[in-house]
Amino acid sequence: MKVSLNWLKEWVDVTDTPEGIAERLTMVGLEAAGIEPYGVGYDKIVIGKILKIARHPDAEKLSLCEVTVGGTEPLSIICGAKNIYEGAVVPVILVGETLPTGPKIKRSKIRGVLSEGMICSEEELGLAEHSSGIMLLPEDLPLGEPFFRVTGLEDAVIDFEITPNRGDCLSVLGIAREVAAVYDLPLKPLDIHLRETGEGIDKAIEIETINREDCPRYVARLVRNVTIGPSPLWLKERLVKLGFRSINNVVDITNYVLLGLGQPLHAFDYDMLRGHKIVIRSASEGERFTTLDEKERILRKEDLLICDAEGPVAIAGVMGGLNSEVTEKTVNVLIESAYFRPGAIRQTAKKLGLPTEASYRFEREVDPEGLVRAADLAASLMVDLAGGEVATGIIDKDYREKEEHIIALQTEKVNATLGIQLTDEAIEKTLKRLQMKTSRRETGKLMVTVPSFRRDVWRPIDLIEEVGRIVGFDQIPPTLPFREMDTKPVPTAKKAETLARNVLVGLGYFEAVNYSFVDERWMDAFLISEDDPLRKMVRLRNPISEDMAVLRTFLIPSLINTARNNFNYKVQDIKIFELRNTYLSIGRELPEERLHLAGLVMGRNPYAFGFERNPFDFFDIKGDVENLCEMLKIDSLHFASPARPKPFLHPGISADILQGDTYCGFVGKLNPVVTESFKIDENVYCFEVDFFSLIQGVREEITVEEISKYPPVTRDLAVVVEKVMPVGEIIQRIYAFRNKYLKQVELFDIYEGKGIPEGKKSVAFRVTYQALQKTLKDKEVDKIHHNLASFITKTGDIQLR
Amino acid sequence: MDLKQEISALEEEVRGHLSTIETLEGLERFRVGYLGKKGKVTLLTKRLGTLPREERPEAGKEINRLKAWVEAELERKTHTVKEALRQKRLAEERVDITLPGRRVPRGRDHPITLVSREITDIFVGMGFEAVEGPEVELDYYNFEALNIPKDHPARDMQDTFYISDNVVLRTHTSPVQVRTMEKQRPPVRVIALGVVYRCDSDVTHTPMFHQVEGLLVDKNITMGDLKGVLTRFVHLMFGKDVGVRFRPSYFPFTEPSAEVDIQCVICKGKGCRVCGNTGWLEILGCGMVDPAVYGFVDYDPETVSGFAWGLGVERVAMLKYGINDLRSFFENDLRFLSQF
Repeated sequence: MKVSLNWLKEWVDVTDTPEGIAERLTMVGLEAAGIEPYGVGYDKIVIGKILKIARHPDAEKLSLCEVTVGGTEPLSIICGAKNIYEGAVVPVILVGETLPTGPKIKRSKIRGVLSEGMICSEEELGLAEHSSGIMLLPEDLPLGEPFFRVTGLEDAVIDFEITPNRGDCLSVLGIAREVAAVYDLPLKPLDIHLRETGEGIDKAIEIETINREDCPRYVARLVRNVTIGPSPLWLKERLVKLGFRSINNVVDITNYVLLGLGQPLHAFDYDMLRGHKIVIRSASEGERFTTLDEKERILRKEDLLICDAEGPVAIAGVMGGLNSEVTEKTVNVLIESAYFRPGAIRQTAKKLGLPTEASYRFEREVDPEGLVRAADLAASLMVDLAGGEVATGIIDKDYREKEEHIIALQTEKVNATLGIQLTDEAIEKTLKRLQMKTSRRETGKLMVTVPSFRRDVWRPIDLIEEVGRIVGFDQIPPTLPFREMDTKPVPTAKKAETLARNVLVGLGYFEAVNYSFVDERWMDAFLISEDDPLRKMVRLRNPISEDMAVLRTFLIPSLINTARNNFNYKVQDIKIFELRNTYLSIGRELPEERLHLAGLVMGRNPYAFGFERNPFDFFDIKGDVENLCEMLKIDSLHFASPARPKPFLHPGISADILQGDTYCGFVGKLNPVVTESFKIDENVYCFEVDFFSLIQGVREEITVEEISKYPPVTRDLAVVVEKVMPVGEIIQRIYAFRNKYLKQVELFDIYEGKGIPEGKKSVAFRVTYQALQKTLKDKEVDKIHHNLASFITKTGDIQLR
Repeated sequence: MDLKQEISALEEEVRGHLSTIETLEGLERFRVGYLGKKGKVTLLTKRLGTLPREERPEAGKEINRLKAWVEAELERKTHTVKEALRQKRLAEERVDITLPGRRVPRGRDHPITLVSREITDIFVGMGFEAVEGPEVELDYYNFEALNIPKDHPARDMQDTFYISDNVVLRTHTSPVQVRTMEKQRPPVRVIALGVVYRCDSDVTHTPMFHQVEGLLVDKNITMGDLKGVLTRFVHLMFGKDVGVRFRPSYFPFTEPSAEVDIQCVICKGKGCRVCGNTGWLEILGCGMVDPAVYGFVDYDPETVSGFAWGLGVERVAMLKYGINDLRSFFENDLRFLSQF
């Protein structure tokens, strides 16, 4: 809501600067978003008088004017307007000054003749959107004085952000009330003098309310014999400053009342109302109506219409109709000043996509007691500015006696909520500044009558907020509410999240954060079949764009997309992870949200002096997963050939990740078809796990084992097996040989070729033996090692080399 | 030459010889030459038997003294030589310390993670428990139970992503307040950190961002307590000399409501481009829990009171790290991420 300081001062004698007012109101909840000065500093736009007008010697349409701006020599100024005359008092901009609308004025020759300034129009001065000639001023203005100052046009417009609860502040009056409260100043009353003539309005129009729920009160006035024309400058100026366009005097008056009092009005061309009747009813489903912006609207039965005897003439509270709008030909005007149910107006404006200044205010609720005053103000202005005659009487359909709204407020409750110590008197004084009426019957309790415009105040807590806001939150001393600590331990899952991040960062991974929404076409790129559960995506009704229309069911597509974006920036060695939710539609109202952890590597280890830069392969990322699980204390981690191969992974270079018997996720090389469709010509390895499933295996307790003081003994063990036999199986077999001295088995060689039969491979391990209580003797170790060898070769598929 | 003369001659020789030795090898040769099996001192000992009986004790004493003296001299010299060698090596050995260290390449936490962790730690330190709630949320929790009925203009404050008529992507972390109070009786002291969504995408808005919600409900909680807790947070997060102000505002689920501004961290309150010349930066919204919300969770507003706040994580990160473009958080450009 923009407010002009000059207009504001009509209501309240505030002397503070615009900056001061902006600051003070910001601190009571009306946040000032900006201050725009008007006409301030334009000292070289001055009052001038045209002494002589001659024709430009070389241009038929231009005049050569001799203009005085006070004492000195007259200036010679060229002017193209037709409405000038000798003796006219006009605004003159001198050389070197810049117009409010932009251009700087220089001494210049126009068709060979020197011009020492410019005579200005309202448009050039930023006072009107259009003007047809030079601005003509009253003849008694002092020559040479700054134009904006002596005309009283010097002003400042402050833009306030009004929160949705403060519909009462969507007007100059509303802001003035806040200013009066903040500065503890009286609010000046609005005097409207209205002379009614001619036949009564009740004879001229019949009003029928069918939907009284959505239109509880409807006020109308009739103004006859208006002359439609341009508005006077002061009115235009007020509207333009506050961001409105000037249309004509009658329309401008309705907008003036809207801005001034916050009550939206509608002006009908009375003679266009068929049957001289107004009917307020709900639309029928699918009913069509053309609004005054010349668009046809299709309505629903929830929409409220203002109709005449034959059909709709306005969408109530939103926009009028083309069929009854005020035009140059209008003679008689019916002013509508109504209260519509906020929810109804909001629904209609939203469904039609037609938010208007009127609907904005109705949605935020207008003052039901302000309808008559608004209609009267508009009518009196139509008399003054359009020469109209106000018909006798006013229509006030469904007028009800004003209900006093009284709230009992306890001082104790005020202080207990705010954490402050205020007396009954202080509270009473504060509320009075807000136009509240108060009475004190007993100590510690105040009966407060809330004015009708404060629709947001109806409970004690609402009054407490008012007191706090006006007294100032800065008056509340900060305290700390820590009476007893009841601190709970950080849950295992949270600890695991932090640890997982730390471990992966330590392993060289960068954490990515991607949007939860993804491009559904990525599922095709990932070769995911239509019936795959990964396709059970949550779909947004109103996505930002089609490629952000579904929520992701797994993270790898986002990571490959991240990798691709970096790749395009020539960052080719990439190690990234993401620990974020996924969303799976499970046929209930809310989807299942599961925390996933995914990592992706591509290229080589980043360059570091003294390090080998081998390309990443499967075992790099598998090792990372193993390291991660080791740090998370998941002993039951193991890898298995995929039970159901993932279509987006390389079938021969991928594995399932299991924790105990539970499937947690996968690790492997991305199928080159997938990487190619992301335009990446590199090997990409990735893993993804369901984090919650994985950390079910976390061993929470650590029990330290005793360390042996006796030396370890190692023995090598070389075996020959079928080439296809997984080494993991041999290792398992070795560990299955349960011996208390067997400490560790290390793989150190895999060999195929000379000396090994075709189709076989040699695998060599180093086995470490150690006892806790003694030094193992060679003979003892030899015997155990021999037993181990016989144990693993028992089944015949493993032979000693 | 008698033995005595020989001994003193040998002493003279040893002194001269030792002073010329500079290497460990030389010392070894010396040891063999004098103290070895055929060393000169050893040979003297062997000659003892050839002396007349009455001279032997005296001579033996002399020779033993000589031997002890040579050994001591040798030891002293060995020490000197070793020390000299050590000094020489220290003087000669040298690396170019400006060569890069041999490093295991490291990754980085995302700045959102870093800041979230810092915020969480501060509030956990004040006794708040971290809780969570769903991101895909019922309209009831996101709006209705927070005193924002359908058709309420406050819904315009947040552009909402809809899944269906009753299901939305949560527009704030505030639904966790309601879910928490449904499960737990007062006292309640929780924070909820998480992702929120708004249907808005431009230079200053991303459709997804992060918030930290806080809720404290107990007996006798005042707005002073709200100010105390959040002021302490600001001081721990941004420094204890940073000014804080509480400005009245409006949220349907708190009353009184306030927005919290901190003194601009860039210009220290003097006014600059970042703070729009006001000297203040808005960082969070807060307020006393509206009694209407208690009605939805069956708390008695006559016996308990409390406060809540919502803080934008990206906002804090931008101020802390001088990030200008909100979108950079979600682009995951490694050149950006590697700076944290």
